[in-house]
Amino acid sequence: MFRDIVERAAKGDQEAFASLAQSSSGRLYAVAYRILRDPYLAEDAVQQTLITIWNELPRLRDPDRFEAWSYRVVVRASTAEARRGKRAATALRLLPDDADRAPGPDEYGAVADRDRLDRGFRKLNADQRAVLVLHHYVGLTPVDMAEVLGIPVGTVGSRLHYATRALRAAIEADDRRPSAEERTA
Amino acid sequence: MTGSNDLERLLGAYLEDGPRRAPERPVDAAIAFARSNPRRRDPLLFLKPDVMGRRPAAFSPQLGWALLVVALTIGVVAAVAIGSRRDQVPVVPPPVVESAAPSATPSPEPSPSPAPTSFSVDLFDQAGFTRTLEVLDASGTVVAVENGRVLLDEPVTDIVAIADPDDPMRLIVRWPFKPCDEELVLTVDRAAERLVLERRGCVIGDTIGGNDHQITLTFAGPVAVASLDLQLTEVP
Repeated sequence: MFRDIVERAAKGDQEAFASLAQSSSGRLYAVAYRILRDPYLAEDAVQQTLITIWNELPRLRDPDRFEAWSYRVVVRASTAEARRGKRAATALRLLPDDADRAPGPDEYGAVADRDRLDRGFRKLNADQRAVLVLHHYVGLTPVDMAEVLGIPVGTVGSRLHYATRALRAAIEADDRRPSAEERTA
Repeated sequence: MTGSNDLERLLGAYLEDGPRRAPERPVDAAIAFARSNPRRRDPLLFLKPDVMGRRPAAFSPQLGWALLVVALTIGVVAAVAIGSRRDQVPVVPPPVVESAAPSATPSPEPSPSPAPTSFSVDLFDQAGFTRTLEVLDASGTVVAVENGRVLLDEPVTDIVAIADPDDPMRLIVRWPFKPCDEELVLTVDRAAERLVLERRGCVIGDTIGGNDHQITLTFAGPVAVASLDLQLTEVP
């Protein structure tokens, strides 16, 4: 069924493409948002991704590889959007419904870890974020990532290694910074 | 958060947090783009690489197809070029070989009519303007036509023909310039004995500031200049 939609869209069927865009936009946006950490940049990346899919879909020989190819397109669009940097980072944090609830004793630590992780993650470049998102969020294996990114499996392994190391270094550097209270003391 | 497993676990949880549904704006914009840019059939699609293809191989199928198309194109162009050159070569009547013994049939069959050929040559006047002369050869004995240099000396008042002193098969034809020399046609009759140059007649201006034109005709055999009938006519 899905293959049929891809094939029809590749032949120029606009209704099939609309269906394809609507069914794929959620996972594409999720990836773009997690790479860019900015909802507006992620919107632009998804729009560019879908337009690229419309333009280039006839060149996808195997419709069964659509999902992998769409990840490749959205990663490229996201890294391009990050480099373009046409908007200032807005860092719009979507708070959960129970955000005003006071965290319990165990949750204070979790929130602190998450903030440190967020600051560290934002210090990574877009390529490093992309491999971490594909592996830890999408759940792709290094072999699948190699197909998506169009690079050798060994290169995927080294990128993952260096991205993780960079993230750890960024967090540790952040830990060494004196807090505002320490600076004023 | 120092352990590797801790970091990966926290990273996984961190990445899980976030939107999973796209806003409508980019989707609507992309669908609108598709509607306003309907895809056209690409005849060269089979030559383009697969978007999910890995690095191009040393000899990919696409490269093979591309080489085949290039080879076919070159072949077709070469065939057309050779064919057009053959069309321009006049059909020279076969030489008549006299029989040693007298023939019983006094009148041989008439030889087939030679195929008329045409040539086009650019003429340049002193001011640098280009005019085109069409040569229509009904005799089929003209092999080539060349543009001669513009003559500033020995002006002529009518069309003249001069045998090339170095080559008996070449004939130099000169005629006086006129400002309205734009549609020039030289006709060689079937016997290659009469040459008629037609040009558009002028009302005013005539030969003021002009110079003569000259071309050289090369025939398949020696040319008897003395027996040539040359005419320069002006058509309205």
